[in-house]
Amino acid sequence: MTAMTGARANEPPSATAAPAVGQVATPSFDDFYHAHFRNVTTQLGAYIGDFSQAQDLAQEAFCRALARWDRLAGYDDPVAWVRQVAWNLARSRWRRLRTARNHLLRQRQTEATMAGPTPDRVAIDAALAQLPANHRRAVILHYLADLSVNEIASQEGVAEGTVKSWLHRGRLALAGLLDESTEGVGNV
Amino acid sequence: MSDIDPRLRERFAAYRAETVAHLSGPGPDQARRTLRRRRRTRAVVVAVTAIVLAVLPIVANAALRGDGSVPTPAQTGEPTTPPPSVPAPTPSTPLTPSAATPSSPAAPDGRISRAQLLAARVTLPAWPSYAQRCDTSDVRLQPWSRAQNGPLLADLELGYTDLDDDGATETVALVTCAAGEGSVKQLVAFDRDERGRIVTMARVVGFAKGLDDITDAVVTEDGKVRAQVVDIQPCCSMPSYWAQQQWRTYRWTGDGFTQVEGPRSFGRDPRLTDLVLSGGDLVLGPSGVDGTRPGTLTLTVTNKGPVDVAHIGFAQLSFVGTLSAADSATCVAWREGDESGANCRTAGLKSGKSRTYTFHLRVDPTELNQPSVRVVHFDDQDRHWRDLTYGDNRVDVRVVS
Repeated sequence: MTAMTGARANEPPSATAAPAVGQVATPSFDDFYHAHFRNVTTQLGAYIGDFSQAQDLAQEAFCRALARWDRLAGYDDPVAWVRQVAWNLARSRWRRLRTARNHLLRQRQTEATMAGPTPDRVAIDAALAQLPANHRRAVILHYLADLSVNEIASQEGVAEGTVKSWLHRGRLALAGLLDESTEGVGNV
Repeated sequence: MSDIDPRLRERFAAYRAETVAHLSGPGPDQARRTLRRRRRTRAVVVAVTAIVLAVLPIVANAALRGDGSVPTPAQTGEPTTPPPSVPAPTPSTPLTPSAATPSSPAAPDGRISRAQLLAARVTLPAWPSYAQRCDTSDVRLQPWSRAQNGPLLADLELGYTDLDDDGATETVALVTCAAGEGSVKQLVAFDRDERGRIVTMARVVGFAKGLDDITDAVVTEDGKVRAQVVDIQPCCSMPSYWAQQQWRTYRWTGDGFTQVEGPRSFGRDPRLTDLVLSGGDLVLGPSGVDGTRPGTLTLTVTNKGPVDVAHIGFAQLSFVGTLSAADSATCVAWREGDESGANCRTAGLKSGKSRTYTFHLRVDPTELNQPSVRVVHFDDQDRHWRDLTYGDNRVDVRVVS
C-alpha cells in the first residue's frame, strides 16, 4: 500500500487526483462532458459541415449517455459510445426531424458560435465536403478523433482493409484539394 | 503518401484547435434538465391495466346478454347503477382477475401462442428512458428474426403457468427492442380478458441499474418466473466473458411482480482489479540518419487490488515508437485482434504491488501526436479485463528532452 501512494504522487497533473472515496470511483458526468463534448462536436461538425447542428447532435448523444451514465461510466472508453451514438443520430431520422424546427435558431447560432473561421478552416471544410461520405468519415475519425484503423473499422462495421483504402483515397484527394485551395501551408 | 500524412495531421490539429476554441456547448446541466423533462413526460399507462380489469364485470355482463352488442367501457349504459357500485358483487379484493370474477365458470384462458401474440396489438410496460424508439402503446410485436426498429418478440420459448392463481394459465414472454448498439429487454406477463383479447399483466423484470441483459427465463409449476439476468450487455468490442449471470425468481403479488428468490444484485465483479498507470516521461536521444531518435519511456504500474494480475499488457506503445529487440524479449508482442489493444505483455503483478518499467524505443518525432499509453489486465487464460476504476489506466506520454 505504500507503493500505491508513491505511484499516485508520480501521476501527471492531468490524471485527475481523484478524491479517495470508496473503491469504485466512477468519473463524474460533468468531467466527462467537459473533457469530450467539444471534440465530439468538432468531429461531427467536420463531417456534416454544420457545427451548430453538430452541437445539437452531440448534446443529444451526451444526454443519452447521462441517462445510462451509471453503466456507461464503467466502460473502458465511454466516449466511443457517445461518438457512435452522435454519428448514428447524424444519419438518422432524428436529425431530419429537428432540422426544420431549429432552422432559424441554428442560423443565428452558427454566426454566434463560429464567427470568423480562418481561411485554413474554410479550406478544410470545403475540401472535406468534396470527399465521398465514407472517405470523409474515415479521414475525420483518423485525424480529428485520433482513432486507429482498427477502431474505425469497428465503429463503421467494416474490414480494416476497407478503412485503409478509404483513408488512402481520402488523404490523396485532400492533399490535392488543399494544396490547390490554400497557400503558404505546404512547407513540408 | 508518407509526406502527406504529417502535413494533414498538422492541418487537422490546427483545425481542431481552432474549432474547439469556438465551441462551448449547452453544458451538462442542460443535459440533466432535458433528461428530467423526458422522464416526466414518460409517465406510463400502467393504470390503464387496472381500469381494464375493473370494467371486466360490466363487459362480461354485456357479453352474457347474448345480443352481441358489447358496450364500450366509456359508456356502460346502466343508468341506475353508477360506476362506484360496480365492484360491489365481488366479495374480496379486486384488481386480480380471479377476485373480480369469483362466480364466473372459469377465468379467461391466458395461454397465448407465439402467432397469437405476434398478431395482437399490445401495451408494453415502459422501456428504459434511453430506448427512445421503443414504443409501449398499441404495439405490434415483430418476430425477432426481422430485427429492426421497434419492439420484437425474442426468440425464447414462451412460458405458460398460472401466475395469479386464478385457475387459468398466463403467458410469459421476453420482448426486446434495439437501442443504440445493443438492445433493451423485458420479461412481460400477458393474459386474456373476458372477451378473449390479449392484455398485459405486468413486467416481470426489466433493465435496471446493474442489470443490462436478460438471457433466459422459465416458469415454474407453482406460478413463479425464473429469469437469468446479466450485469452488462457485451457490445461492440466487449468480450462476452465480462458479463456475469444470475438466476432470480419473481412472483405475482396482485399488482406486480416482486423478486422472491436469488441474489438481489451483482455487487462488484470479483474478477476485476484496480490498476493504476503513472509516469509517462519519454527521454529522447540524438537523431539518427533516418531521422528517428532513441527514446526511453518510464511507466509505473500499481495493482491496488484485490485481484492478482497474471500478465500486464501495454496498449498504444506503438504510437510512441518501435520497441527495441531487448525489450521485446521482456514485453512480448501480443497478438492483434483480441480487442484489448495491447501491443505487448510482460510478467504479472500481484495485488498491492507496484513496478516500474523502462522501455527503449525507436521514435519518429514527426509521428508523435500526443501519444498516451494504457495498461491492460490479463488473466492466466489470456483473457483481458476492464478495470475497477476508470481513467487511471492511461497516461499521457510527455517528451522531456
